[in-house]
Order: sequence, then C-alpha cells, then structure tokens
Amino acid sequence: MTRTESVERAEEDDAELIRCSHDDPERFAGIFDRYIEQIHRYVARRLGTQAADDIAAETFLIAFRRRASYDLAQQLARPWLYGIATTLIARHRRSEERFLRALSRTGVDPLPEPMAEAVIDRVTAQQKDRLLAGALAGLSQGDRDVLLLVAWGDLSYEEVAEALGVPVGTVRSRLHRARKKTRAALGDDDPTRQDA
Amino acid sequence: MDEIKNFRSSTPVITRQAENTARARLLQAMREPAPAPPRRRMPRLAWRLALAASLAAAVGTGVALTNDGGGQQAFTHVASVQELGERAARAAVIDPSKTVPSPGKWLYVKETIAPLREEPAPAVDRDKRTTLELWNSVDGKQTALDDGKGKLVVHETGPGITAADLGEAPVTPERMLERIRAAIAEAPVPPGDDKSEEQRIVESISQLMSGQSLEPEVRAALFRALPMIQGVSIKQDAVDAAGRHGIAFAYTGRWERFEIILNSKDYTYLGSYGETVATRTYSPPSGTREIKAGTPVVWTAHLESKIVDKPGERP
Repeated sequence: MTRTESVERAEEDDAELIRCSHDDPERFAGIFDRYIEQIHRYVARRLGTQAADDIAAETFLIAFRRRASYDLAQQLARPWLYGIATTLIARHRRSEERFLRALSRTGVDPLPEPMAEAVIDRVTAQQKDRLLAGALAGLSQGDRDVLLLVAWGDLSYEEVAEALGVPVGTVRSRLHRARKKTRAALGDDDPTRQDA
Repeated sequence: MDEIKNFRSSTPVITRQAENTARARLLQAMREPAPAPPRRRMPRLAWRLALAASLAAAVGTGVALTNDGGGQQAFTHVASVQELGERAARAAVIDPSKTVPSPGKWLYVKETIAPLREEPAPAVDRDKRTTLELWNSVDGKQTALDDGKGKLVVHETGPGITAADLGEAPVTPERMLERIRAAIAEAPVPPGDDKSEEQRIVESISQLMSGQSLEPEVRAALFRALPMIQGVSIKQDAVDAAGRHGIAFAYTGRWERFEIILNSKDYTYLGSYGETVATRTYSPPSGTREIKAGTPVVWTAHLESKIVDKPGERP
C-alpha cells in the first residue's frame, strides 16, 4: 500500500465516522483523536496553551453536539472544526490583540512556554516577530482568521471558505489584504525570504 | 508567508493531561443519557446560524453541552486491548503475503521517520521526515544500511533477539515474552536511559514487527503477548509518520508513552509513535535542558518491506 492511497482512505472516513456517531456517540471519539492536537496547537498559537486547553475541549464538545447537522458530503471534518475553533477564538479577540501588541512593544511574547529547543531561534527572530506581531494585531479579525487558517492551519482557500462560511472570493481578497499589510509592516521586499 | 508560518512555531503541543481532560469531557457528554436529537438535516446557512446561537449559549456554561448525547453507548469497534491482540493475531496467521523466506535472503525495509531535532536531545521534529532504508538478514542476525555516503555497512543486530530464535517451538505468547525479556536483560543499557522493562519489551516487539521477517505464528504470538504486558492498553485512533490512521497498542509508563500502530482493517504494522508523558530535566554533556511532557520522541511509518537476495538490493 502506498502512502498517498492510505492517507486518502483514512481521511475519507471523517464523514462516515460522524454518520456512525449519530447512532453510536462514542464513535465521535475518532474525530477527537484525529484532530485534537492540531486544533489545540492552532488555538495555542493564537491565545496561549492555557486558553487553548479550554477552547480545544470546547470545540469538540460543540462539534459533538452539532454532529447531526454536519454536512456529510464534506469528507473531511477539519474545516468544520477549525471553523468552530475560530468562532470561539473570536470571543477572545481583545486578549489576542493585547498579547500581540505586548510582544510588538516589548519583544517578549506573553504566550507561555515555548519549547526549550526553540528559545535561541526566538531570540534571533525577535525583531521580525515584533514587527509581525504588530502587523497581526492591526488586522481585522476576519483578515487575521483567513491569514492564520492558511498559514498555521494549512487550510486551502476552499477549506477556509468552508470553515468561515464565506465565499472563496472573500477568502482571496482578505488574504491579499492581510499579506499586503504584514509585508508592509515587515518593510521587506521579499516576504517569502527566510531568516538564516 | 514563511515568516508568518515561523511566528510562534515553537508553541508546544497539547499536554497529555490537557488532552485527557478534554477527552474525558467529551466522553462524559457522550455517555450522558439524553433524548435522541432530531436527525433533520438543516440547510447550511441555517446550521451556521444555529451554531452561532449555540456558541453564544454554550460558552461559559460548558455543562449545558453535555446533554445532547443522542442515545445509548455502544461499542462497535475493538473494545479492549485483549480483543485487539486476538484479532491482530488471527489476521497475522491467515495473511497470505507472509510467506517464510529461505535462509540467506534479506528483508528490505523502507520507513519514513521524524528525525531528531537536535542531538543529543531525544525530541523529534514533527514537521520533518527522513526516509530510512535498511536490509535485515532473514535470520535476524544482521542489519545493513547506507552510511550516508553511499557505502553499505553491515553490522550485528542490536537487542540480540532473532526471528529464528523466536520461531523455535513452543511459539506461545508467554514464551515470546520470556525470550524478549532475557535478551533485554543481556543488552547493555545506554547511560541515562531509565526506560522500564515493559517499555523495552514493547519497543522490541515494535522493532521485530517492523524490521524482521517473522513467521506468521510468531507474529500472532507477539500480538497476543502485547496485552499481557503491564501498562499496555488500546488506542482507538493513532497516526503514523505518514499520516495514516490506525488502531494502536499503547504502552504508558512513568515517563513515556509508546504506540505500536496497526492498520485497523487488516492489522498490518503501520508504524510507531512515542512521546514523553512527564516533564523532566535531562543532562547531556553540554548542559541541562528540560524536556516537556508531550514532546514526541519517536515517530515512524513502515512504508515497504520485501525479500531480496542481498543487502543493498531494492525491490
């Protein structure tokens, strides 16, 4: 069996799992096991691990509760779950922007506990992080959602549209605007360049 | 975009404790008896509005969420680690692809693994993959691999358990454990390594399954042996390094958790995953560093294995 085949086969099962969970609620644990890590990490990057512990748990409770209305034509539950998480994150918009502004101002990220290995990288990247944090704080919630769902959630434009319940055209224009603003803030002609 | 991707990329993964708490909350919601929810499919926009409304109501009053379980609990899939051992063992015996090769041949094995982030720390990088190719002699005594410069190096196999030894009668789960335990007792322990004996046994079984050409009966006996090891439980959904989902034997010890991941349909070996479950300080020669709970320390996916005539030969 090749890798791609089995990945596709495994992921096709989300809708099926949710369908089964209508009659057998425990099957929904499969959705939790598949996505808890990535949903948690996405929320933690935006609001810190402590808030993420709560919001990620809440995301799956809400998803479970709403499972009867899940559109079974959508094979992957990822966009749906990111959508729910994003709605929950939106309630913490002020905290998110406050954290970003604090980082931008002081160079110290108030989000707790980076992994030990990454500490050195973070010091060298600090100036860039500060500029970026300032730029992210200045984006509208909708633009920031799109940018971070693409950059951190690895969602396609179509999946972001699905997650946020907006047309794909809106995703494109929000992303364009968000990238333009962050690029301007970084004062960098080539935003895809990586630091050595 | 890369700069945004790197921004806060060091955010740690969810801790085991937080994951367990979240899972417990979800399970509680599942098990709460409740009137069956309406099955009506709402149009997309309608459910979005309903979702928004439910969010407004639900956040802050988390308990309210638990009363929508939708019926009685039922276990339709593999319910216990014993059942998993038994099912996997039966599948191993009837697997037609597992023919016993003749002596002198080699087993080519291809894996993809998450590489170490930065030696000597044990953490692996979840976002990177390395392909590993190796050749094991079918008697299980020798391993050959590329030294990175295109030269093949053959050496004796590490833990001293060979496929041939395990194949000697009687092939029972008890006997498998006995032999592996004896081999582990003889193997030198690297300094600073304080894995439990149980973890070593589970890891050895994983290595045997991924890298050795085992007779079907031996493979079956190993599957039946796993539930007999203290600390081994079932994990319903586990993911290997190639992103494939499967069902796993999961050993949880004081410091680490280790999973042997199997295809949930035919119980063939998919790969392994291990992570720390407690935060601890670790002292490599260069100084002290802390390894947080939830740090991945091994992640593999078994991609291919095939009998070939000599080491270095690819199927």
